[in-house]
Amino acid sequence: MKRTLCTDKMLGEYTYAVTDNGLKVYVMEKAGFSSAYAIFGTRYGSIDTKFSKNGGKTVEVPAGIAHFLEHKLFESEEGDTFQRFAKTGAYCNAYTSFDRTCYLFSCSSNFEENFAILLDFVQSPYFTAETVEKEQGIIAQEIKMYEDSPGWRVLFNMLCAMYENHPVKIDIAGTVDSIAKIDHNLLYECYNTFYNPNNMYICVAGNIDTDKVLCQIEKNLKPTPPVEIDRFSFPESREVLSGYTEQSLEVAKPLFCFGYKEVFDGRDPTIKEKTVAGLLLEILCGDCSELYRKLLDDGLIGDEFSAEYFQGHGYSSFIIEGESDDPVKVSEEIKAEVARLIKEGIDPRLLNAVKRSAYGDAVKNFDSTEGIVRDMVECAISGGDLFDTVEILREITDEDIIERLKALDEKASVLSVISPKKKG
Amino acid sequence: MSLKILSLSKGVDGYFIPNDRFSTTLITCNLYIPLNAETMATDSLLPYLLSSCCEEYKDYIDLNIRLLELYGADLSCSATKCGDRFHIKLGISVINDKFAFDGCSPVAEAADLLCGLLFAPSFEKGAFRTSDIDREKRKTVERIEGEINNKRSFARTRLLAEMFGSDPYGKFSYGSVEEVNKIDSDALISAWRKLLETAYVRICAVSGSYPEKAFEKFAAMFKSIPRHDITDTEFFRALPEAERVKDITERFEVTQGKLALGFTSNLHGSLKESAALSLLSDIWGGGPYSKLFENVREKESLCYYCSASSRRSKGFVTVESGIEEQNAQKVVDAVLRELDDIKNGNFDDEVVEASKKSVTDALAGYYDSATALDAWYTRELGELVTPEEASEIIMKVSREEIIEAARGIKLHTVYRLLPKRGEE
Repeated sequence: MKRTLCTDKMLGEYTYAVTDNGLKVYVMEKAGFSSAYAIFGTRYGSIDTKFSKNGGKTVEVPAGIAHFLEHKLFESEEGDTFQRFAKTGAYCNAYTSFDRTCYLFSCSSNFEENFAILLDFVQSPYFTAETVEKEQGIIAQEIKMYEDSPGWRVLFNMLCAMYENHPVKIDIAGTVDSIAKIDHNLLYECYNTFYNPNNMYICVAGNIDTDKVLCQIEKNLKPTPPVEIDRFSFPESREVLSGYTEQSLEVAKPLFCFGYKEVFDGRDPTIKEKTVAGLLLEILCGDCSELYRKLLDDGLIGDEFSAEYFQGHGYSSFIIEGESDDPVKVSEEIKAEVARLIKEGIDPRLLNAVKRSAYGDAVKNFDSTEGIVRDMVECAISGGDLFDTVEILREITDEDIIERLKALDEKASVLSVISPKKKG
Repeated sequence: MSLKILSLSKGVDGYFIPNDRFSTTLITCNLYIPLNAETMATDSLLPYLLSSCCEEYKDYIDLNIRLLELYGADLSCSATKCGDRFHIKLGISVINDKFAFDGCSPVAEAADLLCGLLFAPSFEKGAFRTSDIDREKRKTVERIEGEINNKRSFARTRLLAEMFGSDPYGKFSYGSVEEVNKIDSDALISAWRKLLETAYVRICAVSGSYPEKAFEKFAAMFKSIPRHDITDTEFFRALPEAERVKDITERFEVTQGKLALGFTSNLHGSLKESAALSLLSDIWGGGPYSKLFENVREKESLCYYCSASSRRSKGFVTVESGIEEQNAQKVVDAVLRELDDIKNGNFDDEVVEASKKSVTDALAGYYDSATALDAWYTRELGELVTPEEASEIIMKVSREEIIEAARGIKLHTVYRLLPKRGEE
């Protein structure tokens, strides 16, 4: 196993290692902490619906299968994984997002025992026709729960209007119809492709001993020949399918999600580009911006107003969402503010304040084992170093932000609205 | 170092929670007053108004920029029910001085800012400014109306309203839209004075070093005002058993229904009693080893979630689930059947052990989060123990005490939120 020690004089140190079969490992000891947090994950999420393995034929699988697989991996021939963790007292869980599936536990004692369970169950798939059928009922309930969630629907409606081909627009859990097509053979096919050490990572932080963690991984990693995955590239033009989309649900006030589509030709954004995007959104619509003042004073927004740089393999967009009686007016104000900033430039005091705040956030993140591990997962998927942000922040200038603002194209924007059901 | 409690002024305690594992300091000011249905809307609006501006930063954008410049200090506020008391919290979390790169002391400056927000509001001619009041009123009305957006918490709110009836505990913390619309500066000034003069106050600091200056500042401020009729912190009024189970069904435009059950208990807030109650609710519907998870979700596939939780501060238990309408009665029956099982002692010692391990493991983890530690020492009044001591109490709960707690549980209210039918 090849090991590298990464250090920062203020923030501490962590070990990055890669096993012989390609598994990436990140370990950070946190002195004085009572608990530890660990993730065993794979770069496999809802967007991986079309792929080939080792140069073979391209396979297309039903939407929602990565999430389904996550649910099913908790069962093994010996029984339920939750019951194994119940004996140790650890909290265990898992989640699937667009581009990753993560299995996690946190504990204050018995770390080795818990880590052994994690290493074992993620490497021990057990799918049968009967257990798959039973899960379809539970997941159908989960899908229905999200159908009633206006915050979830407003985002996916926007993505559906923004992306022509990219599967990021499909609900992570799939649909009741798509999950009905999943069977145990398909689950094995996906597992044997994406749950290969070459495509996986282990991230640990807390009251642990790095040497022991690495030793436990080496001893318990099953010998698996490496798999080469070819992910289908879903071509996306700069245009959106539709600039406006609306749905009615049981809500008190309209919800909106306004997004600018961004297209990086054949590559994903760099860490600096992602950091710039975060600062840009803070300057454009953070709670110190002129836009925020205007929208709040005019009664166009309230508590629910936030922005996010939404990005993964093959997709990226700037998203601003909230609640408003007049979402169209809000979207017009956003466009006008982008134009104003390009024309008038950025207030140097605001840029400085936003950078100081981003530095503070980076420092604060090391107070939470969960926060550290989340950043490690990001590094495992997108590359980079845990301590990068602090260094990159120093380099960023107002020109970097203005250049990026100029790339926001009104014609590539979408406004998604969830409107209240009409009474009567 | 262990928790240090000191009296800062009449009815004002300083809680120093020493913890040197964080790069931040968290200071919160917690004020407790009697729960009063008539003034709840005003009491609730107050912390939001106070934390939006002050004499020094009259403009909310100026205040927000100040927070960014304090390395992204997080200012927070809340108004929640704490048993028969209303708990108003204003808090600030900031990076420790050693991480500041310009020689300033973010911790001392943040404490000054917090004090200023509470004691020196932004007045104009001796009154809160109309524009500030109107802005915060509008945001509060949106919070009230937006409650429907999250169906799970909406069902919980409706359950508590029906269950507690005329007891102010059943009232929505923000009050009603009509009540909020009636709030004026006079009412707010009167509520603010009453809060400062009569609340029991707990200033909490989770920090690596003793926050001498912050405590001195708060002590001096509280000593400068007349403190009288300090709120009694020991008051506890339990809900009596229902003579007949209340049964409520409401219909909305939703895909999935929600079920919320409310149970009274015969417990009265003591730590020993509430330890048995919390273990009971955990075994019944807490972790994945619980009876509701194992049987109602996993074996019968009746829902995606079905969970129980208890409130020590008011001595009651709730069970929540997302359901299909045709399964509504089946889930109610199953929930009661599992409770009967516990009453009759039909549960394994292994489940008790799993529950104790899970609860105590989570308690040990409190020491790794400043917010969790602060919440631990502020969300309950009355008997005070450390998370470690609470673990010891939990470990001593016997099987018989769990059965006894289960036998003291009585169904009080059934609330169903169901999809509208075709003709509705």
